[in-house]
Amino acid sequence: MTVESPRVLMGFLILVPVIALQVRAFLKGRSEIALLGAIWSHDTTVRLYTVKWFFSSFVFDVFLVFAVLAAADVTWGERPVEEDRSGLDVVIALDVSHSMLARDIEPSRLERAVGVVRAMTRQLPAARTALVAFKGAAVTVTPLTEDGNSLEVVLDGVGPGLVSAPGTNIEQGLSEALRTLPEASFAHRAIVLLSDGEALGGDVDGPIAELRRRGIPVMTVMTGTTAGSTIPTSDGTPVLDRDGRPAISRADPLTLERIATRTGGAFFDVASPDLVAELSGSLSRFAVIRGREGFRLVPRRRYRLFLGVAIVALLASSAVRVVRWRGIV
Amino acid sequence: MLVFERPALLLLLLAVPGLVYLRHFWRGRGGTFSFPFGVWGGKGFVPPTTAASVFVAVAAASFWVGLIVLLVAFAGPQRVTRERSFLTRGVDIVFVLDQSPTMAARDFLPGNRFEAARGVIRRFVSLRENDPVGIVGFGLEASLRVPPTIDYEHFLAVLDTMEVFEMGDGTAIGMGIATAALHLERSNAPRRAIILLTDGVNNAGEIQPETAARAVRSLGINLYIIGIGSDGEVEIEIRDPETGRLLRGTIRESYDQEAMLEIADIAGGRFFYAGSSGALQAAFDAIDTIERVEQRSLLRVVRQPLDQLLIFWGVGLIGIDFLIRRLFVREVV
Amino acid sequence: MDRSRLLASVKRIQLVASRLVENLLAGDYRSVFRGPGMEFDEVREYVEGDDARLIDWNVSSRMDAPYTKTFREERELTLALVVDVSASLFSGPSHRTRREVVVELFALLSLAAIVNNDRVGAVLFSDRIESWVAPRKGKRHALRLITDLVGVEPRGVGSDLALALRTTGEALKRRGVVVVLSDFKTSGYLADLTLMGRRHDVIAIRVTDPVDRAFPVTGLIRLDDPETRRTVAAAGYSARFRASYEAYREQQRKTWLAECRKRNIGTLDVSTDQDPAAQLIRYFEHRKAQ
Repeated sequence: MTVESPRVLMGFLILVPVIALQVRAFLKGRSEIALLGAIWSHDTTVRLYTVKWFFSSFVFDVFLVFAVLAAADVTWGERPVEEDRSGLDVVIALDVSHSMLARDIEPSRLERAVGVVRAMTRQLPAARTALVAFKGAAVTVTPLTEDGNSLEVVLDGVGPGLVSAPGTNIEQGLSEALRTLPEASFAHRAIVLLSDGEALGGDVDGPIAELRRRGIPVMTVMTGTTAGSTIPTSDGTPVLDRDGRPAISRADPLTLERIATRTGGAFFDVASPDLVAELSGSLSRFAVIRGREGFRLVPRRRYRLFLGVAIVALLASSAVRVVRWRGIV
Repeated sequence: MLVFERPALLLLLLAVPGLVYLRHFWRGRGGTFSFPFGVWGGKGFVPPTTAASVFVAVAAASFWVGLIVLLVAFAGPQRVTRERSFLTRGVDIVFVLDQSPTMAARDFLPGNRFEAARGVIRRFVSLRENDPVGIVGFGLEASLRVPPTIDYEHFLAVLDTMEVFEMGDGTAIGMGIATAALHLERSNAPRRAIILLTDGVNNAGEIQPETAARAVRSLGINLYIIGIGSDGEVEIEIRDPETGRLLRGTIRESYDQEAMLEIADIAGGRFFYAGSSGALQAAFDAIDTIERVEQRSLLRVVRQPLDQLLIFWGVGLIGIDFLIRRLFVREVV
Repeated sequence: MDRSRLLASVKRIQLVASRLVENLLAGDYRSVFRGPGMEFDEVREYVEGDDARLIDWNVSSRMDAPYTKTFREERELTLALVVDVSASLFSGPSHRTRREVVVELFALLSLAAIVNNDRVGAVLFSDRIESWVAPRKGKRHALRLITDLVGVEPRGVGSDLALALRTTGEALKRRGVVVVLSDFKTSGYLADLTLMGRRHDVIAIRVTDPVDRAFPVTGLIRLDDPETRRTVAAAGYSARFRASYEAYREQQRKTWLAECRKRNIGTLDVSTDQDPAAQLIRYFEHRKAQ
């Protein structure tokens, strides 16, 4: 079972003010009906009122819970959809944030990443490639093209200067990568994300949902070590944090692993010896297998189950108020 | 186009009028308090119209619209779009655009030569579907700005950022053609074309236009040369990219038609003379007609589910009802 | 209500009412309802000091002596109780206290009449005549009336007071006392009230509840009127709403009071938060003083 939009689950928080308002309404209502005089202050009436309040409120809360679950898009199981494609489009999403200048990977995270890209594209001469560089924002450096020369040329100039917005926003990188993959393309599509995983902004759930829907796997390459290192500036001194100590940048595999598993891709460590072979191998295998099977598996959505319960609960909550109980309320 | 995964579930909407009746009009409904405020056979007490009346109406409307939205979401609404995806390779086209200062000459009113060229390129690209387009800019030297791609959005974005004079004061026509040829060299497109737009004479670069033209011919690439600019004195207005000063003056310089014809001849291409906007457009229309290949494509149905959006709206509307009833009018029961 | 509960309830009401009637109400009742009603008794010879206006000239001429008519005060009264059992007072448990007040007033009045050896009849009405019992004497009869009222399950929901007054007027041959017990949340009865006021001694007792004067401060509450079945959303928290409600009720009361005064009809307002017996006694004392 998978929650496709986990952020929506934050919606459960609205239960707190909702229940508070319900309790307040109950306490006030109970004393107010007595003011109408006569039977309304009678024990029986108060008991009826209490029972009625409890059911209608409880069922309304059930409605909210299930509506949130429906909106969070819970899936389990898979179903095949026809996928008639051939060829391969690969977008390389390259992190060019300042932390990529750290030297825990020789000669630097960025230079190693560029080296991986260069080697990988040579292994995939038939693929169309695009290069997206991202920091706080993302730019298409090279659009999707068959022209391997142009990628070679731009790779020489890749650095933090490509993007002005500071930070590391993987969401922006993935969104821009998605944009560069035209829906009209007949080829299989994949993204290779090279980053140290130190995300400082953005929420990758949005792009992940879209990638899953379109069946685009993301191969993630963690460029950096979890031990981390300082980040050198142009004059050789390390970047300092707010307290004046040298800032340590540590690679974080969690986000990268999640992106890879959720989209059906694979996670790689830049330090692994056969990285390029494995990476380009998994890309071409993916295209070959999909091309042979002619379908891909997409998660089976179950929102209707939850939404059905939610609607029934909503109607029940309303019905509790509509049905007159013992001819009184 | 809107379709439903389970359209039969939309029949549930038919129950809504009945529910509205039960909730608001049925005499036997509960949630009301027996209270003799009326006068038998008379008018009785008519409550004044207060903000509460408006609130109650808004709340009820929100609730029912919310319920309808949720029921629609229950039927699995999807936006269906048809995407054409191409089974064949299109024509590779690389524009080679002159960015020398004279392109700022204002004889293509309302703008200058460069803007006129940009306009026709944009229009040309907008008529293409699966033909990769790229662009090389040249002045004193040449550089590839966009490799051949079908990402037209990116192409047009880059085209818009290109400026006259940013490649230096010079006209390296040979370098421009050669750069374009280099990036088309490994392409396996059924047709490849280079469209050169220039208003000057080759006066820079290490590669002569004739050499480049021969290379183009040997690669089997079609070369089109469009000479931009009218004869006679032309007013020119240009901002120096280095000093930022606005330079004005008149020029009386034109491209060397003989040389252009010769290059076109060597490359086995065609030369167009474009002295006006109309002629420029006509040249592009001609190239557009020639550089077409038959394409096979298939329509792919893309379904985008809309249920999540509708659930948000539905819950929001029912939330409005809840808030009004519990917070603003503090409904009892 | 099952039979044993009903009887127990009647027994209790009767006990309380009897005590009140014997101790306090009987005397007042008689003094208030002495009335101007004089009944022709006989003709006798005129004696010095008799009212010359009362000489019966027909008899005198035949007998060749002055004869005078004598009258005796009508001691025996007929009390007709016109009781509203419409939904606004009698339906559902919600109006129990209004109903209780009506029953108590009814019991007090009927027992007071019996103690004074008067005849008591009752008309119970909603939008139809629910029951009509001809005036008779005796304690058993009074108990039957009370039992009828306590146990009544009205078939109609509205309150057609005009119909009830017309029926009562037709049924009462001689001048009597008519007491109307109602909340007067009805309309179209004024013409019949005028007719009734000309022939009989009429007292209108209006049974109300504190919420008939002012609406309590509450949240939004949906009210449905038991008689007209109209529903309104009452915004009890809105000062504007409460002011409007209060003004309406006050205007209703004033209209009722003015219409009754115009027809020389006695009026008594009894609220459910007051003791009905005390209100009744105060009213009788007030009438006596006039």
